[in-house]
Amino acid sequence: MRRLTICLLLTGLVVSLAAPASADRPGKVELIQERSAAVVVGDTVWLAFTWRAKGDLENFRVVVRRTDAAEFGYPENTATYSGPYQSPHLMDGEIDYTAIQVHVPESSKATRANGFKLQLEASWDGGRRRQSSIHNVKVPTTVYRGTDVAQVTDAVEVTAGAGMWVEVAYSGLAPVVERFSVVVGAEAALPITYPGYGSTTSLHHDASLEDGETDVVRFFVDAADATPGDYELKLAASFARGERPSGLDGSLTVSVVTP
Amino acid sequence: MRRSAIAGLVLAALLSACGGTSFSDEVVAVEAAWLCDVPRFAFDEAVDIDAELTSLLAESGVDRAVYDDFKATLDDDAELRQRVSVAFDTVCGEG
Repeated sequence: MRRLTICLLLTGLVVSLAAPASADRPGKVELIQERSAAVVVGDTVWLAFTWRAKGDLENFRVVVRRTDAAEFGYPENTATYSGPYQSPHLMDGEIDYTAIQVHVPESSKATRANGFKLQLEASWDGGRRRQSSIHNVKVPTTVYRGTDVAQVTDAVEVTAGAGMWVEVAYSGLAPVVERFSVVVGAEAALPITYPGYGSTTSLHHDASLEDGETDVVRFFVDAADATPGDYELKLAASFARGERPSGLDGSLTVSVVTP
Repeated sequence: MRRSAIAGLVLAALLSACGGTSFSDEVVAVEAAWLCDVPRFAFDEAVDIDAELTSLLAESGVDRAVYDDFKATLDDDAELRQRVSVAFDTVCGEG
């Protein structure tokens, strides 16, 4: 162990004595891939971009220079740029990736173009000043064409002679739907009251439902005068994918049970 | 130039005496495969990238601490970077 420590110290010393070459050469970087992973329109994802250094590139940083089709974000620990995985440097011959968050809005031009060009600016300390280079990468986009949301709850129990707030869960399948609301069919055999005495009910957390998110709508079912048995309520969910209105018709079986 | 040459000779002697870097071809191959694969995926969250790497390491039988040590060593080890680069080009194809 002691021998290893001495070796490491001596090696580090020798490397540092031989190091000034990096200060004299500006260096270059190659963006290895010409296209990224595809992004579903409406989604927010993290994409990785792989680089190979030619020369020692210290304080290597990548920012999005220009695009009009998407919104971007960087890792929390760097905030205004993306850097290599572990070290802030990309040394000669080293390959590493930088991660950038990409959000493609439903209204994006990319929806029609099946993708967009992303311009990345890489910069680093090399030679006697900060160096930079511009790199283009194609970000393919695709449109989600499946079912937008799924109704999770299809049956609830309510005690006869009373009333109760019931919860109906919905799960998001599309990247995101917004302005989500539900109404119970007017022909409902049981009196319904919406929160705030409104005419619709919406999701508990907020009015949006993202892919993989489950949230509930609530409404009051009055079973004060109902006889025990099963009652079917028609549910109509309405929401928007971007500017496009959409909806989901479903039903809920309310079992009125004896107390 | 003269300083670099002398330093190179001393460094070579030191590496020879110390046995050089000891990272296995397996760690190098996993890193090359990871760097080739990671741009092909879209991740929901930033932490999912690291979770995917952790899964790959586990599947490949590479200890996470060894991998982290390997990554920390890359900055100072040109030979190790060259091994990764060659492995990457083999796995991923040039360019």
